[in-house]
Parts: sequence; structure tokens; C-alpha cells
Amino acid sequence: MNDTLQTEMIEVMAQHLNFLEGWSNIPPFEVAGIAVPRLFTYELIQFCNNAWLDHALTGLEKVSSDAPAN
Amino acid sequence: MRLLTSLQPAFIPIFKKLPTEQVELWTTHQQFARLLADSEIASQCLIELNQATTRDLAYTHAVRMLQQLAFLPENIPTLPEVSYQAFKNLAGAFFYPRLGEIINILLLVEQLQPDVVLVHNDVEPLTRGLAMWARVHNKPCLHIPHAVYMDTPERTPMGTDVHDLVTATHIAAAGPYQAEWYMQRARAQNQPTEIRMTGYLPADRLADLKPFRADALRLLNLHDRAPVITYFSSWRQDTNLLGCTDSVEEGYHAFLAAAQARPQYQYLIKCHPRGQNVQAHVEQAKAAGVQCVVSDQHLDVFLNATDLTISLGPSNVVVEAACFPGMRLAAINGFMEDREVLTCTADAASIGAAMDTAFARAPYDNTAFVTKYFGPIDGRTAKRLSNWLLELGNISNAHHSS
Repeated sequence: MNDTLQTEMIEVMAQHLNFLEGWSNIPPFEVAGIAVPRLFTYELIQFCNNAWLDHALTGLEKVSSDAPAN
Repeated sequence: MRLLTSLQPAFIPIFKKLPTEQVELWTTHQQFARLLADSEIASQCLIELNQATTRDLAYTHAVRMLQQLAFLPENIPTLPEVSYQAFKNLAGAFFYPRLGEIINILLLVEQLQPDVVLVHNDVEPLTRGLAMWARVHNKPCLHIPHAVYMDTPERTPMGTDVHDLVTATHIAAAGPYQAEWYMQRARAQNQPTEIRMTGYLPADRLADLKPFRADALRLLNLHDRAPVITYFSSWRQDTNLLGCTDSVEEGYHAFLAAAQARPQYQYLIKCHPRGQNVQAHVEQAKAAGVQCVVSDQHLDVFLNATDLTISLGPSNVVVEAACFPGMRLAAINGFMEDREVLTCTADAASIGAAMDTAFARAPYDNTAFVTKYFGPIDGRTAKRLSNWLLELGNISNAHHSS
């Protein structure tokens, strides 16, 4: 992963983390005082990161395939 | 004191030092209860508390949570649409097989009401759940890390690896390096956490080293007329949220090239015990024409036979090796600030130069290096940890001095 993509991914990851840590903090998700989905935050972040990265890399491939052949 | 522990065989020496009449030990896994029984340590397992009503309640909760997923909004303005849509489409499939079991365990912990919780990490869903439960219920959760995590120049920012997460209320840091490492993370996450330096539990066995080099050489079919170099390989770990690299393959390939050019040394390849990649290492060594012994077991035999260790990255095994008198140390992209370790890059010339430099000079005294990462090697870490557990459980340890 190049530095630019990694920098962008770190910013996106922060957005994923903020969303995932917050969305389950509602009573239906609480058991024994714990917001249960938060136990899987890191797995879910990986999942969202991979989805975003796949999309970002696909965009890069499209650009290179559009380049004229020499 | 009712003590609930995660599944960690390395904790057995701690349990052996706890007063059985004052400590009621519970485990999260039946297989650990069986292992403890084999070690003549009495324990009970959470599952013994499980009844049909608890299981039904767990799945009722799970269904209720899955139903909530139907109410996710169409989009979240602060999130990239592609990642949110992926989450929205597959969140149900992700949670469906996981919720029932983890909720069942949380209900059992709630029923048990342990006085103290003990975990070997606080980042996997189960162990994080145990640590969260303790925090929410104002009970102490002691996290004894199973390794000393180390930063390298390539390490992505703090917060991007799952090991950066701090949830436990108390952390047993091996030595000053790990104590500082966790303090930074606890501060960044605003997580009040007590951190003490206790030493590194697996290193207790190194306090009373009785080297057996001649036997080790014989067992490995090596001789004492040429130096022995052990390469510590690794395995792909998927804990970093920014992905993993090909460094395992690159490092080994470069090492083999350096070894091929230096037939005057004898070679051992030590793979990670959970890497499941021994065969791949054997095949690559054969392809490179490097004669060596490859294993993912028998660490102590390897260390007793070794003159120079070369590791991929800052591995804990380098610090273990440093406990052996006269051991020379090298690492690919690791321990950059430690003079005791020759650092090199993942290319044959650099690794080869490290090999030659190591044997061109006398070995260093590695005492300060070991203390920095592992704390004191005095064989008393298990005792310190058992005393701390008793303290957390408000049991007087006047009769259990360290």
C-alpha cells in the first residue's frame, strides 16, 4: 500500500471506528451492562476497511487500464 | 475470592501458588478445566452453570439484536457509502453465528459474579467481554499479556492494531518497555488503568538456566567446530487493520541467500509454533540448497545449540535467546535502538554482513537488554502475579511474601 493510500485509509478507518463504537450504544444491544456488538468492533472495522480498500483499488486499476498503450 | 480466568496454560504456575482454601477458580473453557485438573489444580467451568433457560435467554437477546439491524438508516453522511453499504448488507450474516454464544457467556459471568477476572489478552471478543464486564461492574480485571508487543519503524500509527486496545483495569507489564507501551495507549484511550512491572511469566524458566549445549548439538546432528546460526521466522498475523505484509517470505528468502553464500556456518530454522508453515520453510531451504534443521518446536534445544540468532522483526524470542550467556543477536528491522542487537534489512547482503560482524567481535553482555523487555529474570514472576491477584481479591497476603 503506498503512503497516500495508507494515509487516506487511516482517516477512513477513524470514521469506521467512530461509527461502530457508537451505533450499538442503545438499549437493545446491551446485555449485562455491555453493548455486545462492541466486542466485535475490530473485526467489523477490518470488514469495512477491506470493503473500502477493494473499492479504492478497483478505482486505481480502472485508471491504469484506461491509459493508452505505448 | 472467586477468580475467573481465560484459557491460558501459561497461567498454571500462578494458580499453583494461590491458597486453594481462599480461592475458587473458574475457567471459561472446559478444556482448560481438564488441563488444570491434570496439573492437580481444582477449578470449575462456566458451562457448569448453564441451563436451558440461560441458553434460551441468550438466543432471545440475540434475536432482538438481529432485529435491530433492520432499522439501520439508508446511509450515514459521515461514512464512505461503499463501506457502510457493505456493513449494512452483511452485518446480519456476521452477527448471526456469533451473538448467541457470546451473550450466553456474558449471562453466565453475570450469574457467577466473579470477584476478580484474569485474561491473557483483552482484545478478542470473549476476553474483551470479560474485561468490559469487570469494568462495568467495578471489579478488577488483570491482563497478563502473553507477549511483549513491540513497535518497529514500519509499525502503523497507534490505534491501528488490535493489540493497541486497552480494556482491562490492571495490566501486568513485563518490564519498563512494555509498561511505557501500555501507558501511552491507556492515556490515549482515556482508560484509567493500573500498570505494574511484574516480569515476564514465561521467562521464569530462564532464571535457573542449566545450559546443555553439547547435548543440544548432538540432538540436532550438529558439531561444535563451526558457529550455529538460528533464523527465527514468523507467520502472517492479521491483527493490523491496515493489512499484513509479505515480510515473512521476503525475510526468509533473503536469509537463505545469505546462508547459501556462507557454508562455513551451521543453520537452524525455527518457525513460529502456531505458524503452520514448517513444510514451506523446508521446501524453500531445499530449493536454495541450504542445509539446515527446520522445526516449529524444541525452542530450548535450538537456543542451547545457537551462537547467533537472527529474527524477523523484534521477536520476543530474541530476548529469550539473550538470556543464554554469550548469545549474539541480530534482527531484520527490529530492535533498532538496542546496541546489543545487530539490525539488518531483508536483503542477503545486509543479513550476511550481520552474520560476519557478529562473529568478528565478542558477544555483548545482554543483561540490560533483557531487563528492558522482560523485567527481572529471577524466577519470581509467577509469585508476584499470584500476590497481585490476592491483593485484587482483598485477600491478605501476609503469608505470601514475594
